[in-house]
Amino acid sequence: MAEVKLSEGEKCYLIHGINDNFRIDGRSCWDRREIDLEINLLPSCVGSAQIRSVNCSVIAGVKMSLVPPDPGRPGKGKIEFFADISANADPLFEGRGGQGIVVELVSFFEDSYKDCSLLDCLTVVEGKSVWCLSIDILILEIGSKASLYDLCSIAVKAALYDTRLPKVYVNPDTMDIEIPDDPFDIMRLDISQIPVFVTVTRIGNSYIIDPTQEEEASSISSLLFSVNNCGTLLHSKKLGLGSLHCDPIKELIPKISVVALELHDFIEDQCKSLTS
Amino acid sequence: MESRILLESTSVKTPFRIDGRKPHEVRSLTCRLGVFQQADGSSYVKLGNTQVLATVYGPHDTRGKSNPEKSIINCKFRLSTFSKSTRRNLHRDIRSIEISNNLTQVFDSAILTELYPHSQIDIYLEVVQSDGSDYAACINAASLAIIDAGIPIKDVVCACSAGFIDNQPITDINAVEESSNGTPILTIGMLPKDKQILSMESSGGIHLDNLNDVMDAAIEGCKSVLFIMKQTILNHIQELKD
Repeated sequence: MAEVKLSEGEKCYLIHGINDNFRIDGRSCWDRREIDLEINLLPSCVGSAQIRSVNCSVIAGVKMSLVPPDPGRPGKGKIEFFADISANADPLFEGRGGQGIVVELVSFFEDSYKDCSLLDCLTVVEGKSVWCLSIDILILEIGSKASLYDLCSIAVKAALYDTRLPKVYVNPDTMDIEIPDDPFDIMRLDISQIPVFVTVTRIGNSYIIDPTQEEEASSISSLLFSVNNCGTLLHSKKLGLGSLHCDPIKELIPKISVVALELHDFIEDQCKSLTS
Repeated sequence: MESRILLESTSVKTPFRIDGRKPHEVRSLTCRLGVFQQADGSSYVKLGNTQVLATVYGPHDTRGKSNPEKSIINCKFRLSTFSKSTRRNLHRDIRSIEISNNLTQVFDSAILTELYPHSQIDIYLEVVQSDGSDYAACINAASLAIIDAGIPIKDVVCACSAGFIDNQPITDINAVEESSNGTPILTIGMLPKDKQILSMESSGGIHLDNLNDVMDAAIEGCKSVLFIMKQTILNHIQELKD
């Protein structure tokens, strides 16, 4: 993700275009670039997905383990997030170079999934053992930072769609847990409530989604929303520097719910067509 | 628990391995060049279930010390957290550091570094899925990425692993064979045209009398790998031309 440096003239050209709802790659303000989704590609994970969109590529892998639940939440499973930017994306990220972006990403995921209904179906024996899903996000290539959030959320949702947990049988007398040997005796997760992230970026006088690197370089600031399939906002955050006026944000809200629902539908359609 | 790694087939005299291969058979190899847009060179290698992504950046300015006579090679190898059946912690992995150092030595001797004084070449390897012979797959991937970047290299560096089980040399070890107790593993990375060995690394005990056979098995494996790598490169160049 080599930093893009734009001259004043280039920025001006780009901003004026966006004010007329016309972006440098021909899209309008609320168009997304094409997304390429693939699921079930890692045999070592219970669920996995890879997503590519032009110059951004993310792999998400899900692993599971049986753990005792948190004392305060005996009937809820756990989800842990880990993210990692490969040095493949840029020599800047060698070693712990990507830690700044990663920490922000992981904490946003954790906050969005905190009260997700998915956690309820991960209980095995209440108060004794629950499934813990470890979700690893591996970022292989980064276009703009704003669109990275959107793509990571899609990759994670698709990986959870692909997740196959073994059905667990509990002996009611001894409370022993039995995991059957049959690899087809599995349960799938209900992913409908899982949120997706929508990032809107302010450029000039308008908001756009899915910015390119050049657009991000000339943007004022970005807003990140986590929205579930009912249109409920779960978490939000302002990204980066700059300040935003509050009136345009209020006008933005209905638009965001439309974009988020489109994204939910897109993931469902794609995953269904990939499995059938 | 005793597990047989080589299975004696009933009808034929040749034994079969746990994944159905014959002793000298290399797993199916798929290579692709130019998988990333932003990197100067990149490649993807899939050897059986082992999947490696390699990218090359450079030659560019050095970040630290520079050498007035040749360019500095910087190799970084990493296993992703989900690459094996159990989740793994990324940091403080001694084996990864060792492999990184080995790869640096291999490509320092293969690349014509004296052409780029005062500069640095970065090679990054990410093992997405690990199923044995990671080191060999990484050498192959890195070599393809360097070629994709257009950096002058002496030859297509190819590598293959070999082992010795039940008095039989076997080529291209998978993860099951690797983890079974006491299997000796020898990985050879070579410049095929001059028959120069750039890297030779072995672990596990093997009698010196058998070493020749195992080396031959690895070198044979290198040749099969090289055939596919060369074909991939030629196809890629053809695509670029069209």
